[in-house]
Parts: sequence; C-alpha cells; structure tokens
Amino acid sequence: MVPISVTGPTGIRRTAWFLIDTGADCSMLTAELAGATGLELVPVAPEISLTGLGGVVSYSRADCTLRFTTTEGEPVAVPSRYAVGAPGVADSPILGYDLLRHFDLILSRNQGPILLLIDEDGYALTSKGV
Amino acid sequence: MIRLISTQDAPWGVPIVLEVITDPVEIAKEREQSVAFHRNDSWLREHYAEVIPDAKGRYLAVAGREAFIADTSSEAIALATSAHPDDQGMIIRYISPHRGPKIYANRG
Repeated sequence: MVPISVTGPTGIRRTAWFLIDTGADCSMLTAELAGATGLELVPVAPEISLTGLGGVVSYSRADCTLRFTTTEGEPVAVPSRYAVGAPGVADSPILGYDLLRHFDLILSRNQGPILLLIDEDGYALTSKGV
Repeated sequence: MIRLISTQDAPWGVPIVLEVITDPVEIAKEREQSVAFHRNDSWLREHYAEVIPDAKGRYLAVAGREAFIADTSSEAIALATSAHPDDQGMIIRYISPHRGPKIYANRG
C-alpha cells in the first residue's frame, strides 16, 4: 500500500492508502474517497465495463489529481480521469497499471519501503554478504 | 485485479502525465496535509483493536486522532468535519465485516 493524496475540483485534498495492483488495468478510487474530496461523478458508457474476481462492478469516472511524494518530499501530480467504484465495490482505492506503467516498482518487505522509480532513477540488485 | 474492458482505444480520453510540483506554496500544502494524514493514521494503528469492532460493516472517519463511525460515508465525514473542521488529514474508509484473509479488495 502507498499513501496518495487526491484533490477534487473544489481543492479539498484527502490522503488514502492505495492498494498496489499490477494486474489491474486501471486505477480506481473508492466512493467514500470521492465523496470526501467532492469529486463530480460522471456516468460511464455502458460498453466500457470493469470486472474483477467479484464479477462486473458498477463505477463512474471523475476528473481529479493524484499526488505522490518523492523521497525528497516533492509532490508529483498526476491529473487525469479515474474510475470511481460504486459504494461497496472496493475496500481501498487501487493503484493500477495505468499509473504503474510509468514506474519501476520495487517491493521489499524485509529491507525497506515500497519504491516507485521513474526513468532517471536507476537501481541495482546485490547479494547480502557478497 | 481490475480488468478494464472497452471497445475504444482510449476509453477515458485523457492521457496520463506526471508533473513535478515546484511551487513552494503547493509543496508546503502537500506536506502539511501529509503530516496530518500520518498523525491520524498512526493513531488508528495504535487504537485499531478498540475501534474496529464497532466499525465493521460501517464507515470509519478519523480526524483529530478521534474515530467517528456511521452507517454512511457522508455521515461519518460530517461527524469528523464538525468535530475537527481544520484537520486536513481526515481518513475515511469502509470497514469490511469480513473475517479472515482476503485475496483481493473487490467486493463487487
């Protein structure tokens, strides 16, 4: 899970833990997070559906800005159009492939935080004790 | 997993662009909001065992390091906002009544 802030059209900003899901085609906000940030929900054309393990889910879309924070404390804003699950669809907002495709993702339970690296950041894997 | 099924090439019609914020005012706002969020989040982690039993199947808002539980998200948000109108770090979430491990967040 990573903390991401969501800003709606009126400037209300709320932060939530987003579930990292490399298998999700798109990111999705929860209905309660959309309500807390005053997002304007727009119905989605019926030919575009979202489905998960629980089957096809009801959702809308909304324009808003997601903000990550770099390790130097600088915000990185991602204004776009995101899916918003109907009430009861998801326990937590989801960070999907539409955003994850811009990063290299490092998940290390043992050694530190979750890292999302963009183009200019490099990394190397080394063996312990070598 | 969330699978997007579309008959169009760009269903949302809006490209995703990452913008690094350099405005000092915006950076300060973001940091202030982040500190407030983590203050409430830390409080919730410390008080999870006492808060969650009453919140299962309902909505939980945390503001001012205090829990507000209601049957709807708007009601929980209103309670938290009324008690702590200046807290920018309010948390709002649905607390699943499900017990046991989960393999996915989707409850559809």
